Amino acid sequence: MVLTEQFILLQAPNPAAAENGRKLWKKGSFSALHRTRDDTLYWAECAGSGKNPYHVSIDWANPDAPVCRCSCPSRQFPCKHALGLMFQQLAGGGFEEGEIPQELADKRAKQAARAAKKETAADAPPKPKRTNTAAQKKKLAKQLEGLDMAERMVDDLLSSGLGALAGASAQTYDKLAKDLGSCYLTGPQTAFTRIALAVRTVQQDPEQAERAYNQALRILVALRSTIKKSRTFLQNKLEAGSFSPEDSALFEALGGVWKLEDLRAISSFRENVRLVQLAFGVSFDQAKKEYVERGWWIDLDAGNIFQTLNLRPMKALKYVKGEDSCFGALEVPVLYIYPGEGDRRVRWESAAPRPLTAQEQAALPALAQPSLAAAVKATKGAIKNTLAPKFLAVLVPVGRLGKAGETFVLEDPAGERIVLRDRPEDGPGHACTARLAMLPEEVPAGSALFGLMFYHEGDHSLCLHPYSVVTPEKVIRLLY
Amino acid sequence: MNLQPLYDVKERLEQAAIAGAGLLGEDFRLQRAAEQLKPLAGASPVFGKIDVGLTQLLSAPAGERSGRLLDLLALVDAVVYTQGKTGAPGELVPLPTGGGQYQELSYGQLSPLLTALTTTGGGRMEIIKSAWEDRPELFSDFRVLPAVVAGLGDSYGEISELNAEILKALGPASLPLLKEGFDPAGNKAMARRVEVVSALEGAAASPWLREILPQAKKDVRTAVLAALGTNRENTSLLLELVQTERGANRDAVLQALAGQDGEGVRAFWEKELEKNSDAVKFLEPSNADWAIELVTSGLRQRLEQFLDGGKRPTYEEGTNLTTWCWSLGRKDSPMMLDFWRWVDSRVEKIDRIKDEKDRPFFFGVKLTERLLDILRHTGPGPLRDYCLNLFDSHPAMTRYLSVSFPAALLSCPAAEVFEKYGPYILTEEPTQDAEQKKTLNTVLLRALGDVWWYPQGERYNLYGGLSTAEPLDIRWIERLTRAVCTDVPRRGGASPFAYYWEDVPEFDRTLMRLVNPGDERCRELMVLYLRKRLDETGLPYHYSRWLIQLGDSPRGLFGKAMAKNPSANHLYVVWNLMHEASQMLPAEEVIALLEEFQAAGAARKQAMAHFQKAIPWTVEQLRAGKPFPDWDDWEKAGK
Repeated sequence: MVLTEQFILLQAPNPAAAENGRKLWKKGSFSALHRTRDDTLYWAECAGSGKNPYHVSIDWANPDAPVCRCSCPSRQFPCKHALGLMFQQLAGGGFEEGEIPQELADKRAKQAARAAKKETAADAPPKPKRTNTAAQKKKLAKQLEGLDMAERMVDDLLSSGLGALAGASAQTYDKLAKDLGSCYLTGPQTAFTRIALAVRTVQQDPEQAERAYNQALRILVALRSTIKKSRTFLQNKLEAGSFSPEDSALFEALGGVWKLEDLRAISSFRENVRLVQLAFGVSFDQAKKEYVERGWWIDLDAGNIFQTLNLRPMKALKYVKGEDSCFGALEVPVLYIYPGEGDRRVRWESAAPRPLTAQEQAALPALAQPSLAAAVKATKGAIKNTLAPKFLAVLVPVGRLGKAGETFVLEDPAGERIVLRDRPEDGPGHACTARLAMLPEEVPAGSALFGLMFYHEGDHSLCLHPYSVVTPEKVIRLLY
Repeated sequence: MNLQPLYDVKERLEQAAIAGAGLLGEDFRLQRAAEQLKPLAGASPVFGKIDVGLTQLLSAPAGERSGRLLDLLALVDAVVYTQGKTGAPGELVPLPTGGGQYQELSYGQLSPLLTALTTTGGGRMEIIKSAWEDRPELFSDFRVLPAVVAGLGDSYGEISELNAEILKALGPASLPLLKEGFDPAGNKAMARRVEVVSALEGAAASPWLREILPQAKKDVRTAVLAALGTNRENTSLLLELVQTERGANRDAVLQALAGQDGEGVRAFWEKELEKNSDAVKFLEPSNADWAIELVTSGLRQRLEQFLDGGKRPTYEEGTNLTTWCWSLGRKDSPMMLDFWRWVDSRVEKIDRIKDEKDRPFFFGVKLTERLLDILRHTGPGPLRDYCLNLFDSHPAMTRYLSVSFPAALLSCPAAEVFEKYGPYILTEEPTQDAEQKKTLNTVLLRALGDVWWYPQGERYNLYGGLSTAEPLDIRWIERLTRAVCTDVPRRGGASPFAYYWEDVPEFDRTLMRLVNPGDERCRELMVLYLRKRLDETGLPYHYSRWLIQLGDSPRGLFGKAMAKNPSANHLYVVWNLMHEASQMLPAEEVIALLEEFQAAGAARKQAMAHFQKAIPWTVEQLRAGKPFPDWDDWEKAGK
């Protein structure tokens, strides 16, 4: 494995730790730099605030998952000292060959023994999963009961009108929504919270009324559809006595959380996939009170676009490692794909980053949709589904980029055009269309533009919110 | 196909959902929209389906309306999406390219900086500042550069000033952004743009400045006028403008003219200073020969009229003379040396200038301070040599010691400096000429207050940034630790550790700034001194912390000193001090200090119960080989 800055950043528990590590390296805080002959272990001393320096080491026995050790009392893992040592290693500076200190050798041996034990356990045939049928039956019945309650809530809400959802009635809905959580329907519960939030926005900022009501209505439409489809889906399961997960987006819409083993059980996975991240962004979900770290990826072989979601609830922010932008390619041994349509969510247990080769980079723009028309057709097909998000991530070929009047426009090689603008729902943190006018260089021929295609209510048109320019030489991120 | 009827139906359905499905029967606008859709219904099956849905909705019983409304909205939405148009008419103008670069910077690296640059709230200055210090390359990224330019209008003045400095340092990359969308009638942000463009382009900015000048208003005009001074070719324009501009704008033109050269300029300033003596302040940064000549001759002339004591300056005349003194700025030339010699030859008389009420103006002191400031920023040369000998030639003029001593530190071997000036530090009470000796002692201590050990550079620096010729002789520390007259005026500034309740003498602060912790002898001397001071003053926080920083322990004196003022011993400050100790001292030493603290009963009364639990627990943790507990754990342990 080639050590890259990107790899170091991915190891860091948070960006601040990486930056602090970088500062240590820049300050020259490391001394007594050593490495083994086979380059699998690096160790050094790092000056800290204490009298005695910290002993830091990085064990590269498994190059994809280095083991970092440090004598500092930090609870962050890896700590800034280990990350700093990685930067030192990346800079290639002055490691002398040396004998492994006994303490490290002992720890290494213990680590190897643990890994071997884990491997043996992994090789053993998996224990058959036992399903508690009675409990599952009870859960399904409870969910059906909850769906009835959700339907009544929707009916009540629409009878009196969204405009009447204010003050005390909004609080009542919040409470009722919590009851849906007790019925294992966290999806509809969140939908009601979102509606209440949208209505509160109207009260706080009447100028946002049109957008907020529109948002609330789209949620209601999706909720109605979820209730209707889920009722049939759950009743069929209950009658058939089938309690195993199924390849259906409804499971998630109801609030279910996919485990990797369940995705494997429904064969929703692919092996040996090469991914490249096209864009990355973070938003805050007010309804769920969590940060959503979303990465957009393209499959180098099939050209599919996937998304990764790292959800970090406020309450558990320090326990969930934050994700960051990923440059270069990622070799994924097993890619688990969530059920659904469009840009499906993916996850993986392990992946190896590596630099993108010039050939791979050059081939990236060719993975774009054949034309703008094809991308538009795919988007229309996707967003008309009531359960699907109202956008589709697309990679479209670029003929020309420019401005028609004050409007940013993409023209594909066939001469078709689309307006480029920021998606209002993404908020100011994702506003990046204007950065197209600040690109350091002209977009070369044979490039593509990646972004989210969406329907714009204002002029009844489909627009593209550009996220990245994919040229044969590089991916220029307008966002992160 | 005209889709307006479809959009109207959608809008009415949405309004119905907001107003309430219960009112659907009375919604005549919806009924009219449904009527208008009928022609489309015949044209396409999907519109027909909407038409049927509308009929069913309007005739549905109240209990079914909500469901039907949402189903119909879902259908209408789907149709509207599929009918969404694309395209953008008009000529396509290629996009310009910016001056920034693209770098592979991750969210974690970029987002905090962009947030700090583009939002409001506290803590942003620190983020921008440390990013600029640690990773200046981030600022040339094409996503960051526009934010820095926009940040010139930041509501927090310090941030906008920092942004201006950053843009100046980044070079011409931001010029297109600075000039794009420039509003000559704009606000302070636009004025800062002018300032940055001028700094980046220098004289080359002149055509642009001349172009925007006619439309420039308020702050922007002032900035443009000042910036015109960077080009010598603008002299005639500035000489015209100075006749027409008023107020702050005229001041800006004067500022610009101070940077110009030539006979015309000199002639203008001669006349201007005759009419407007205070305008001399604009010549403060100028180092041109004509400016030096005008300032020095003007100042001499103004001082001379008061030297014989016959005439006394009024308040206004005194203030004006002070302005002339300040206008000397950091001027350094052979002509200046003549001026300083002239001052020196008349210094007693200058000192005697008093106002009508017999109050001194201290012009002599002010001029000496100017000389010292120039010395602090001037390299080797005749001025430094002059300063070096100043005190020798006037030993009675005690304030000259504050000039000659730093000049010696900057130019002479360390031993020589100590041997010459060290004796002025009194190590025993003087019996003869006590007042003179004590004054010299104080002047020297104040001068030493301008010297400090700079650990990053491993050298001694003087206020102003210059380094001493050699590291301080260790005998200074030996002598200072034995000093008897240690009363030095407070220099200002907070406690180095935020222990604001302890009033540590300025002398000890000065001494600690001189300590090179890497010098073993210096460390030894200071440890003895600090232990003595801890015992004498009973101020445990500063002296213990200094001892700990030097790798020593306040053991034996700690408990007693802490018990002198138990009310200061809050749980957190004690934890903080002991945590610092744990970073520098072995665990046994920390245990001993904790036990000493407890045995002395030094805990704050209100936190006594906390301490009684937290200290034994911490001792136990340390004995078990665990690190000193974090604050959260220490606090919890005490509950």
